[in-house]
Amino acid sequence: MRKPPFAWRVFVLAFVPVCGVLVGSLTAVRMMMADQVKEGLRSSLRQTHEFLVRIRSQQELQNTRMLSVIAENPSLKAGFALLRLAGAGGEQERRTLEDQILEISQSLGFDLVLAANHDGEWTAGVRRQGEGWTQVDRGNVERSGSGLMRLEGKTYAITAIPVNLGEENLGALAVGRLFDFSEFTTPAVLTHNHRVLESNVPGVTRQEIEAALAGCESSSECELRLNGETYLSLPVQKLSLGRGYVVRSLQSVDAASMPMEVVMTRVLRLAGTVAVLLLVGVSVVASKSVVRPLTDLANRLSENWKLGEMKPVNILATTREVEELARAFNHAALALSDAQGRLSNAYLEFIQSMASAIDARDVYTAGHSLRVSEYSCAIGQAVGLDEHELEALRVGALLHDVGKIGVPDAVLQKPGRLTDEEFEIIKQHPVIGKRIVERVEGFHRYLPIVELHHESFDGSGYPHGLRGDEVPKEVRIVRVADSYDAMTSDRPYRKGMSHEAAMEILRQCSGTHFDPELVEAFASLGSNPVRGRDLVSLAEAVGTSGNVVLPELAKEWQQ
Amino acid sequence: MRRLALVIWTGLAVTGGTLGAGNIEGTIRVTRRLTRQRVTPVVPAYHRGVVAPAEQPSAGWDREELDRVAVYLESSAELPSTPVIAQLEQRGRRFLSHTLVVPAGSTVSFPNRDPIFHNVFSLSRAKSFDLGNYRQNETRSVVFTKAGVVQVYCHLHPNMAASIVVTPNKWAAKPSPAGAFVLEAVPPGRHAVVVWHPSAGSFRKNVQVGGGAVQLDFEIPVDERQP
Repeated sequence: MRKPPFAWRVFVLAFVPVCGVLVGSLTAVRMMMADQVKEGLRSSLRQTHEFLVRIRSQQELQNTRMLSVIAENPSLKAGFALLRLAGAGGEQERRTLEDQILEISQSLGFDLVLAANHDGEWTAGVRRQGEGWTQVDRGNVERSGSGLMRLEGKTYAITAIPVNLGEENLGALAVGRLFDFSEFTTPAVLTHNHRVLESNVPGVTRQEIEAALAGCESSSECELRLNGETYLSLPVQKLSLGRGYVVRSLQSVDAASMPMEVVMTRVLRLAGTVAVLLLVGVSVVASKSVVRPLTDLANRLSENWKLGEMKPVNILATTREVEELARAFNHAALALSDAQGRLSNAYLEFIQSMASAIDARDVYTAGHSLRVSEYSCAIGQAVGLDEHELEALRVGALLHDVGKIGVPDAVLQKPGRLTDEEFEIIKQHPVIGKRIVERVEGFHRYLPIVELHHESFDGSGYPHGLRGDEVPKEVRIVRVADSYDAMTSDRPYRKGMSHEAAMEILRQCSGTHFDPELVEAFASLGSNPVRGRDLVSLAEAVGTSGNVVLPELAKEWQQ
Repeated sequence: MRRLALVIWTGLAVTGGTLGAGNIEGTIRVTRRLTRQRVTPVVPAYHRGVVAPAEQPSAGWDREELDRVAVYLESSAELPSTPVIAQLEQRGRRFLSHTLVVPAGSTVSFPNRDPIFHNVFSLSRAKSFDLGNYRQNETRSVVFTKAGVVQVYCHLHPNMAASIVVTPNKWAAKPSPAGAFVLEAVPPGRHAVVVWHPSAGSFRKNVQVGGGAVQLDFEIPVDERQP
């Protein structure tokens, strides 16, 4: 598995926390607004309640005044007095009073009129039923004062006052109105001991409300769900309704928070999207700006790595850490390249020793390797090889006859003409050279020159009989240079050819032994192919580090 | 003063009369007096659930009014009175009937026929009394010795009211439903026939009785009663 890029890490670390904070704050705002809405509902409900309580108490006051006047009616008082005198058993007295009440009730606008004896028992009463009036069954009447009263499945709001004769209490008179929610501007519910008596919530049955209210405390605020809507329910305080009676008004939280929801959705859609996009942009930029110096450095390093070099990199970092990193790398690179340089010098010394050893074995061909190397470089330059190829060519050419180490001196130093057998032995030297070089680490690039420098362009060479492009270009170059030097060098048994003669032979064999293009390139260099090069180059050819292995040879060539 | 003059005058007429006793017959017609139009709605019109009844006189209103009327004879002469025993029932939270005519010295009982208590009383000058509360089928009675109109009420039921007209002599009557009345065998002389109605008041006509019947017609303008 590939490891995630550093940029990703930076992006995620920048984006996720801020995004979280954003979402969190939006949620918090939302919750606060929801709270605000609820608080608003609460206060509006409370206001409604105060209003209600005021209306109720005003009604109560009016009722009390009216009752006070009625209670002073002498006939009624006489009726009460009659009942008082009669005591418990006075049925006719009771009926007399009931009859009086009936008569009064017809001219009052109430729905219920009750009379109590001096013990506080409701002894007589009439209630409105349809167009007319009926007597109240005393057994059903709760013994209570002002407040609400349940009677025959209906709820009445009762106002009661005592009826006195001088100091003596004769009883009490009460009037009642059917309880309704006409003053309520909100949905409301009337409960008695958790049982729902009346409600004006549209489209919801009492049983449903009762079930929804089941979890509510009787005298505290409560939230309930009706018909899939959430309601805030507040009991009306300061309303004297009597024991166990609670009026709750309801407000739909959903309906109230609808405008807020709309606003919030808009805010979320717009601001949220913009913020997230902005955040993405900022995070990307931030991660890039953090990572860029590192990637730059990494790119430069990997370039170096591709080239196989340990060059110091430019310290152009914008941050201190990356700068430190580059500096540290440069230190390491310098140390490494120093070591590398020393190592390659050692190699070079080794190569030159080997070349010298070869040349030393064959005194007649002294300096041959060095000259072939020189010519090869000249041709290579002429055909436009680059620096690296030229370097490989130079070293390769120096080593090309290394295999001759394995050829017996008898064959190698034989003054006369070689027999076929002897020549067969000579022909083994490229293979021997290959076997030597392939064991040396770092010399593999020189293998082709060592092994193939006797292959001909038409395939007539040895050891493999390769032809044309099958042989690498630098090997073909060495082939030309080697032959030229062999021809122009003096041998014990003959004098070396002149440049022109040698060139003539090269031309003759162009296309058969030699690559024609290279022969042409060599010819173009003129009578002294190496003279074209300056002395520094020559010195380089002898030894890059200035460590001249064969000073006498170099001197000779410099003349 | 006026009454005194009248008595003197009739007295003269009676003593001077030489003719025999005779009947006084007559009819009483109740008419409706034009009253100021009522602009204030009746109380129930304010109350919810109650439809104010349309104002229209009931069909038999004049008969009802006739039932309240008393006719009696006034005379400067000492005319005999024969006391009777009469009854004024309370039934259906009403006195039956509205007007009771009895000669002076009569005893009137007030039986309670309702299943509730009543308390009959009067504060009238002619006779003031209070019978107290009494239950169904109980009765109390009062002797009315003095002539005059006695207004009778029930203490428990302010809407109950009746009038007992105590006449000075035995010549007293209530008109028939048709409005006719007869005062039989009125001694000859000069008398006055009084027609009394609780709200319309007294209407008086002098009459000379002396052999043969006397015809006497009255027209009583009555205000329409508030329901």
